[in-house]
Amino acid sequence: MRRRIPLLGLLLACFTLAGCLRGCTSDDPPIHLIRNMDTQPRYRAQSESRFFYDGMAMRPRIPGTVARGELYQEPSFLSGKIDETRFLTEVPLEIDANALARGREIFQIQCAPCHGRRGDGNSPTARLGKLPVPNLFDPRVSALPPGEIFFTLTQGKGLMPHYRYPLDAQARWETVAFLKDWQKRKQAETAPAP
Amino acid sequence: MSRPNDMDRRQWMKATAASLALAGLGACRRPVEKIIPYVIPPEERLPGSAEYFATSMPMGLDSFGLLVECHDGRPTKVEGNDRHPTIQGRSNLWMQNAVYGLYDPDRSRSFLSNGQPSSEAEFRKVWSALEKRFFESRGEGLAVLSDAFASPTLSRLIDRFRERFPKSQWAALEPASDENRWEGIRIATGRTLQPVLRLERAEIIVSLGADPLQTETGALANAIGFSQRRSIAGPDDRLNRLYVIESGLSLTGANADARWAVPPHRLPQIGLALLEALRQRGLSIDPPHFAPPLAPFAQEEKRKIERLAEVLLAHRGKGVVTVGRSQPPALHAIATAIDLALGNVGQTVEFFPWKDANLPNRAGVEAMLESMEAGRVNTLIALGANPAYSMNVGGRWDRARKKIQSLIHYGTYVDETAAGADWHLPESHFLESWGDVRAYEGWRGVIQPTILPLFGGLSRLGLMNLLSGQGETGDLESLVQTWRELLPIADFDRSWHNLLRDGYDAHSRSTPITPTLDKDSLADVTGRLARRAAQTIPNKAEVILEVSPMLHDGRFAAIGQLQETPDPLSKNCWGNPVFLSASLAQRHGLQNGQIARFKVEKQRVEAPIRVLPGVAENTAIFRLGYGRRFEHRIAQGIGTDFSLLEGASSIEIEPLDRFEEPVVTQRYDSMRQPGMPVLSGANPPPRPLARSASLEEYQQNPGFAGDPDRNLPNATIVDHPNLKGAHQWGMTIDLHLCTGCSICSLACQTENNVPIVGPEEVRLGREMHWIRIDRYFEEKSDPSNPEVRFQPVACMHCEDAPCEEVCPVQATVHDQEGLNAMVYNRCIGTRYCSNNCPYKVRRFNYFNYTKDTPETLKMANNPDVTVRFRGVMEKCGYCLQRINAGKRTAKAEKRPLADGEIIPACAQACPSQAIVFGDLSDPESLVSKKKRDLRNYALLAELNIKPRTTYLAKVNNPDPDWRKG
Repeated sequence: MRRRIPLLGLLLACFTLAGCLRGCTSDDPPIHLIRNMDTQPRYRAQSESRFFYDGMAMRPRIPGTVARGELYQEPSFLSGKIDETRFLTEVPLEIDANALARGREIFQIQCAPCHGRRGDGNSPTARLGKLPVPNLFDPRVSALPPGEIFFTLTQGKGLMPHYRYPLDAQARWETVAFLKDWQKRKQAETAPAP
Repeated sequence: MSRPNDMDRRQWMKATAASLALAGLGACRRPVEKIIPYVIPPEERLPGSAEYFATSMPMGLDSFGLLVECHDGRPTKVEGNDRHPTIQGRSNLWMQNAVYGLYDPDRSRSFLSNGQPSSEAEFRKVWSALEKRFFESRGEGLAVLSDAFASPTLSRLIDRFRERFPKSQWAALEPASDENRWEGIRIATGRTLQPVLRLERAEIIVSLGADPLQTETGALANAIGFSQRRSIAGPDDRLNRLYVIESGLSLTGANADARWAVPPHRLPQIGLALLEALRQRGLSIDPPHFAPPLAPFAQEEKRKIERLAEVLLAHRGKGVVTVGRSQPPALHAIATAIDLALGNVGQTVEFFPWKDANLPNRAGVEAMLESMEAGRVNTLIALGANPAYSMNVGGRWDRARKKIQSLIHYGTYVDETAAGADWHLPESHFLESWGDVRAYEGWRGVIQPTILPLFGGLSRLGLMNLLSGQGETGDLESLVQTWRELLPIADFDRSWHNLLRDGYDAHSRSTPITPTLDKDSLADVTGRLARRAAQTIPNKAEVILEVSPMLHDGRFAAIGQLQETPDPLSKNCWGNPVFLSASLAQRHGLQNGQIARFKVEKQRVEAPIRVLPGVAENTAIFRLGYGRRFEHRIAQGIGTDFSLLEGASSIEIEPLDRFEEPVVTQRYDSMRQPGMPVLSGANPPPRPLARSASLEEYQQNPGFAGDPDRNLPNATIVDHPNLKGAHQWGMTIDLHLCTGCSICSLACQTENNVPIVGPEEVRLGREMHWIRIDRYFEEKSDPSNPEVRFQPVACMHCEDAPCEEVCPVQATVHDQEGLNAMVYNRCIGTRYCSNNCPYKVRRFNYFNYTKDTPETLKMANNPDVTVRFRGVMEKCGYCLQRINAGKRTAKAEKRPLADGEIIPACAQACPSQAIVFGDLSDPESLVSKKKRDLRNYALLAELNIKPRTTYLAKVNNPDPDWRKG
């Protein structure tokens, strides 16, 4: 009998445990006995690392390094500025129909949600959020040099965030080229006949 | 590796049950996985997609151009730099394993002061006090023992260091250096020059104790060049011929067309005889008054040497004589003289001036040791050198160490030297640091970091800046400072950007030099060599001390993948047995695996032996790089340290009554192993697995390899898979070009997250390599000069795959493009497939080998490939992830896939381009063309399972006059 007491206790504990596991709600993740490659010892995109102090498996790009396939770009190509005060007045790209088409696509995806599909600042975001979204065909905006628009895309302005990510410099310039082209066409349409 | 070593199955079951009960179920909950995105995402980086960075891997005086694949800012795979002129996108074992070196959890993690953790700031304080003192004494008592390197910025900083401390000493130590070669060239030409073989132009290659295809400096470039010259498209092509005269069986010897095994002491004699034979045939080499006393040669040997002389004379400017790094300088001088006189210099061998090089210097190291022993050195900085391991014959280093006040060690590991050092400074890995290199031929390259230092650490530039009194200068800053002088000033930013992008400077190749022969100096040295050679008649076994093809001089001992890669010839891994010839082993009554005691003067060392065909009689081959004595979970205590045999020429052998089971991956030497099943009544009868013919036979019958297979009946008992995909993948492996170097196997391992299993498991035949390289010694050949065949074998992707028929759970199935795919999640581990695989290429995870993967090593795993679990079968999948990536790219760019766009890891790494992969449905693809080559044959074609991987048979170019009898 003396031997059976601990055994009985163990059995009781088992039942209690099992009952608790079944009945109670728990914040813990479910029991998962055989891991079976559901989690693997490798780092994937956006996963967690217990090695790095910031817990991120994705590491920053080291300043100064150059990856294969990165073409050399003039500093003005990356900032839109010639110097501290002056902006580029031309888009530093070969502009062809393809580039404009890509720019148009990017505009529709990234810019239209706020600036509106017609670029007039009339969008659900602006209306519902009561945001002061500028009309892109406003004379003030039309007069901006391409470099300044690029600078705005790169750094953001007011409530507008920067678009360095997900648009690389090339894509941003294509967007600027498309916008400039659009503005020119619009001006030609609305200008009084000579 | 989580196999409990010293437990039997029952104990293990008990322990597992107990731990399960103890841990309860709480520990078995599904782990919470968090998604952690960038706060500020870097421009132009898509999470999960690969970026490539060009950089360089320094390796002694040479360096290799790399292209490092990074996922989310972490290097995961290394390839050769495809733009680098000498690397050409190919790689060697060490390049492939660079990421394992980087992520090694046992790398040195902190600054140590007398073994106690300290900090960089603390060391800077200590150094500034030292610096002040040495600045006053102009460097009196300060010494630096470095390893060899060649780098524009480092050499600029060394000059600065010498300016500040003019009385300091500086010596470079390299355990396996080419000093004898340079000395030989200096004797022959009066100049210290850097020799570079151009095997792509050589029709006749004569190697005297050298291994230019694997262990010599420049082996990768040599292998690329050799295979370029050797590749044949049809029977009318001309073949080069490789003569190898050597004592051990090297990879070069295994690839030789004509090989002659001689004991070490005969090599100089043969060199002299060759010189004499050439002189007699009218080659003007030495002054007329000189005639060396020659050792007697047998008639047959004389004929071989004379034949060699005739062939070399008939191929002036197209032949080359190369000598091994451990041979005496005089023999190197002879080879240089022959090359010069035959007009080979500038053609098949080029000489370059040394630039920016910190040359190793044995005499300088000796002098430094003496001044240490004499108490003239106060502070020694061991900069990357490890004298306590490589230079401690008879406790020499230990004695010298005691006489100096402070030893500062700088290195990647807390190694043997660091253990006795006052300060240890952790070295950051080259993948974590800025730097530059000057490779052979003068190519300058940059080292750019791919990740921030994992364990802190000091880069070489950082240390040299500190030593040369500009400790505040940043690494990149000092690098740019050097390069401003090397790149065009006008457009520096653009050139610097392009330099980093390409990894090397396209305008930096040195101009080759054609020196003149110094006949008097040569005559003097050869005369002395001849007198000495005539006297040497050893009565004891002779010694060859060579570097390991995997671990080199031990610097790669910490990398498990390299420890587990079998040596190409002996197929031995996790250790370095002593290789003996059969006759020597028999004379001492030694058997494979038996431990013997080797005695040289007062030194004694015990190690297991291994009989290896092809080793010259009376010769014992010892390999450096093993038996490391520092705390490391991989390197420590594997193999035996033979560095104490340094300088010994002969040795006494005493058999002991102990055995150690060898760790080998292939236990048979012949293609026709007794007991190996042969299909009885097979019609046609089984052919050799690795097929070959001599050039003559090939010319007579170009279809020698495949003939009988072509008439096989198309009978099969299995259902043909649906093969209607747009592409039909296939592969050819050209055995003619394969040198057996094993790089494919390692490249596959790093690409596909193939685990290492450790020596115990390998003994049980459980190694996991997806590609094994079968090595056969031809039965017909002479056992002292065996003809060696290599055959890489991976999954053949049979169209009528036997493995698929027996899988009860459809875990291995065919896809429409002809891939025999593994579905890991379905696998329940019956191992039926492996048993039914006629090629035995399936590998089983007997244990959860990746369970305890250290956090850093998880980063080395390819994120695109599953890390397999216990109880799962795995095998080559033709790098499925790369096929899919290629198809995705082509689809995104709205264009058809180009031939050669998808390259599996093995084919990408192969220096000889022996492996070709591509689309069989495109008749113009390279692989389709290769399959139409008459040398094409399928392994075990008689089974009629239609393997997608086929082989191209080997063609030898033997010298009829060198054949025995």
